Amino acid sequence: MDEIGLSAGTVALVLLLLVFPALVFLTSKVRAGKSGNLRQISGLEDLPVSVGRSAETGQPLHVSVGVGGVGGLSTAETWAGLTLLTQLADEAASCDTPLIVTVADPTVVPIAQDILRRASIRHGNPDGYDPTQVRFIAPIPMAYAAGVSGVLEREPLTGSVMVGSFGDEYLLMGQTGARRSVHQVVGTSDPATLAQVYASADDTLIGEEMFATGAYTRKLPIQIGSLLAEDWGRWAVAAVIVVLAIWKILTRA
Amino acid sequence: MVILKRTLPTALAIAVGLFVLVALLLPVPLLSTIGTYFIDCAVIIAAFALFLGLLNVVRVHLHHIRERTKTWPYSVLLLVALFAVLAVGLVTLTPSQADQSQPSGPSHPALQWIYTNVMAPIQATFGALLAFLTLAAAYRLFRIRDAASVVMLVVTLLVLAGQASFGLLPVLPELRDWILDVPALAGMRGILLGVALGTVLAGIRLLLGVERPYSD
Repeated sequence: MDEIGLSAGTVALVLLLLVFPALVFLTSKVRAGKSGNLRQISGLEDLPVSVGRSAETGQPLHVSVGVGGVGGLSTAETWAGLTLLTQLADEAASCDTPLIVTVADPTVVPIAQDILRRASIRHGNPDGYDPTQVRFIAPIPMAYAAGVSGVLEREPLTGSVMVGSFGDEYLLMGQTGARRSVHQVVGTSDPATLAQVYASADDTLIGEEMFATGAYTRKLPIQIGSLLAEDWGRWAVAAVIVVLAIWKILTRA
Repeated sequence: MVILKRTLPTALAIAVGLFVLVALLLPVPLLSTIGTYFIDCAVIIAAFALFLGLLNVVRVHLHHIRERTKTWPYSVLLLVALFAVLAVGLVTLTPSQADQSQPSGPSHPALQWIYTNVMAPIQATFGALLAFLTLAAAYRLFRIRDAASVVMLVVTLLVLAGQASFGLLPVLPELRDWILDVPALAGMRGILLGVALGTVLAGIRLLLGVERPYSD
């Protein structure tokens, strides 16, 4: 961006100024019932099924929010995982389903514990909260993957939901889950890791789909509006790329 | 109680988040100083979280030992190793009085020895396993008979053939480069653009208090 004289802060400000009005406009359209159809994402639609299966069998569901923490470069991905954990904790607490939450960054430990504790209280079962449901495995990605592989190998799980920041170490966990036929829903943003996820998980949340979990589960107008704004943004970026490509071809000729 | 449990944390999070964002976007020195102060506070809290993480590890594994779960011997081993390394770290935390120039803390030779001879080889071993796991994942994928699997199989075979054509078919390396530089790169950029837009909108939802895993 420096090449065209724009700082990262300026680009972020422009992006915000473009996206925010679109978000307000589309949210009002969703509120008025004029828009709001979401495309199907099988991974997100299967989540209540995974919780239900855990409730029927009494076996826990594994949840991972990735190897990142809150406060670093992967905060957005970790936050997406924690948003999903909030939904899963509510559904699990409503049908008394045990969750095993594995984390790799200590900053996530108190947040994840608080999410589970509040879900238990909301559903009138404060004694159902067990702080050892959240397990801090290791802050090093490979050590975390080895620890989670052990959980997937030894615990009688019905499913594994992993949404957050993952790297190459994902394969250790993904292949262990696949070998044990644990139903896996995995979402991450790193394109190189996504290829590995696609090869080993049952359902994949590709890139921005992991940020859409709230809209699919809570369906608030502003959440649906933000997904529509995202789609508008994508079309706008695609149009700009095509126009610039044509312009470059023409000026070269 | 609602104010303490819901309104106050949400208002604080929104206010601090907006302040740091404005400090990032507008080049005003005072805003920048206060924004940096908030970020420093977050770093200190994160450092304290490591202590909470340690307590969590001890609690989880003591639970395993108390309940005699299937894996309780591993929990004993883990706790012994944890406290042994912690003890070494605490003992070597300050430089010795005799030789102040000797490194202390994480760079002390004792901790370096543990890292080089225990941690690094174990990590390297797991890293080496990834090649075999990739092969197993590919095998699993190619057994699935849908259009996407067929496309992935054909593309993988073409890229592999381009990588190991030994000069027999010059077109294969060119085809491999084209696959990697055009469709694969375009797909990756598409994903990254989507992630960038998703991150911006997730940030806005967070700043508006729509999604707040930190409070009711």
